Amino acid sequence: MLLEIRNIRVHYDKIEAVKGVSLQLGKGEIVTLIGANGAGKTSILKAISGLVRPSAGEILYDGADITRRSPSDIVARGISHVPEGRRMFKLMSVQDNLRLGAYLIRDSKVIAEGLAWVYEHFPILKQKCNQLAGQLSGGQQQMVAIGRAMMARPRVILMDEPSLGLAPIIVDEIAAIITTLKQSGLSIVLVEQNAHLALKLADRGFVLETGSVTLSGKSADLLGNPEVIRAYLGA
Amino acid sequence: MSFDEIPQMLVTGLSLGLMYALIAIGLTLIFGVMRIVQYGHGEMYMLGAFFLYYWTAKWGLPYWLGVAASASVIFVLGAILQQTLFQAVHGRNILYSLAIGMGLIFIFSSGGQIIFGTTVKGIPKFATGGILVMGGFLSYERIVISIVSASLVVGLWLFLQKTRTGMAIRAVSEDPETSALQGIRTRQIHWVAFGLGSALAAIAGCLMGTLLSIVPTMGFVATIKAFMIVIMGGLGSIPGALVGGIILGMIDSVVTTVISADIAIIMSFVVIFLILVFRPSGLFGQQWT
Repeated sequence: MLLEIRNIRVHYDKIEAVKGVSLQLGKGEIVTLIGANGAGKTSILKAISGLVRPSAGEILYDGADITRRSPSDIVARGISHVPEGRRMFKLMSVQDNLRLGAYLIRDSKVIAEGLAWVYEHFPILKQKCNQLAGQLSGGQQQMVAIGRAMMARPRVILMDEPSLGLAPIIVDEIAAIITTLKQSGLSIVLVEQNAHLALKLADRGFVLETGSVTLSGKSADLLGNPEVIRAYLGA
Repeated sequence: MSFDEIPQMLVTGLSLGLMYALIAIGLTLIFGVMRIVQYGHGEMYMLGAFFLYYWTAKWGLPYWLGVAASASVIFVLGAILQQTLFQAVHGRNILYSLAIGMGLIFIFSSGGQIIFGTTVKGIPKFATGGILVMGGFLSYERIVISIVSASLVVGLWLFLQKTRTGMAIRAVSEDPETSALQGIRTRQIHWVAFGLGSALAAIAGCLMGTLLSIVPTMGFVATIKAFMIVIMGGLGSIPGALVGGIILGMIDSVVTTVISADIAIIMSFVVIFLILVFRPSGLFGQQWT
C-alpha cells in the first residue's frame, strides 16, 4: 500500500471529529470518502497533509511514518492537497498560483515542465495566466487548484469536494481530469458529497458517518448497496 | 510663502512621505503575515536611528555602511521579538499582541532615555551643499535620501513580486493554511517578514534622523503615524502604505510651510478621517477575515 491510515482520531478541542478510521490507498488507485457534512472527511485529509495533528493512530506513506510531520515535509514527500473551496491566492495571478504549487522545487526546468503540463491539460488557464486568480469562474479556479497541486509533482493527490458548486458540464470536465490523473499513475483520495460521481470515478469507497467508517468496499458494490442507495444516491 | 518655496516644499513633502511610507510598509507587511498591529514598530525606527548615531558620531564609521548595519541589526531584533513574544500569542485575540506592543514602547523608549540620554541628538550629515531649483534651495542630502527611499520601495516591490520568498510572504498574507499546503514553512515566513518590516523602519529612522534630530521617545509618534497611514491606505496593502505615506508627507510639508506645524498635524488626521468616511476599508483596502 502506498498510503495507509491506521485507526486515526482527530480532536478539535474536546470534540472528536474522526473516531478511529483506517483506510488504505494502493498505487494508481482512487479511493473515495463519502458521507454527509461533518462526517469527518475533510479532517481525515487534513490529518494526512499535516494541517491537523491526529490525537491517535498512524499514517504511513511509502513505508515511512508521516503522522506528525509538517505540511511542508509531507508535500516534499509527494502528497499534494487540493483543498475544499479551491482556496485560490485571489490577489495573485494564475501563473503565480501555479508557481507556488512548485514552491519546494528548485529546478526551473522542472517548474517549466509543470506549467506546460497544466497549460496543456487546461488550455483556458494559459489564456488567463496573467489574470488574478480571484477573477476566474469557479470551474477555472478548480482547474488552478488541481494544476497547482500537480506542480509539486505528487504521487498522491488528496481532493476535497472538487465538484462542489460547479455546473454539471464543468463537473464532467473535472471528472475527466481525475480519470486522466489516474491513468498517468497517480493515486487519489477523493472526498465528495456527490456520491454518485465519486463512486463512478473511484475503485473503492468508504462511507463515513459522524467520524467512523460504516461501510466500505469496491465502488461497484457500494453503488448497488441498498443502504448507500437510500442514504447517498437518492433512489 | 513665495513661489521660490514650492519646489522645496514638494521635495520635502516627497522625502518625508517616502520615509513615512517605509515605516508604514513595514507595519503593513507584519500585519499581512501575522494579522497583528505591531505597536512597538516605531521603537525599531528609533533604535535604527540611534544605532546609526553611535556608528557615525561616536565610532566615526562610514555612513551608508552604518545604514546597512542598522537595518541588519534591527532585522535580527525584529526576528527575535517575533520568535519569542509574538509567536507565542499568534492566532489569539489581537489584544494580546497589543499588550506586547505597548510593553515594547515603554521598555524601549524608557530604556533608550536611560542609555542614550534625554538630550536631542543629530546624526552627522553625509553631504553638504545643494542646488537651486526655480529659486528654491534643495540640499543634496534630501535629494539623495529621497532617491534611496524610493529605490527601497521599488526594490521591496520587486522582491515581493519576483522572488520565491517574496511570493511566499504574499501567499501567507492571503491564506496561511493554503500556503502550508504548497510546502511553505509559514513560521519561517513570519520571522522573515517581521524582520524585514522592522528593518524598513530602522532605515527610515536612519534617514529621518539624518534630516531631522533624534530622541529616544520618537518611536511612539512614528507608530501612530504609520498606523494611520496603513489604515488610510488599506490594511495589508503596500501600494496603500506608499500612497498614504506620501499624502501624509505632503500635508506635513505644505501645511507646515504655508500655515504651521500644529495645523499640519490636525489637517493630516482630518484628511485621514475623511478618507475613512468615504472609503471605510482605506484607499486600497480589502476585506480581512
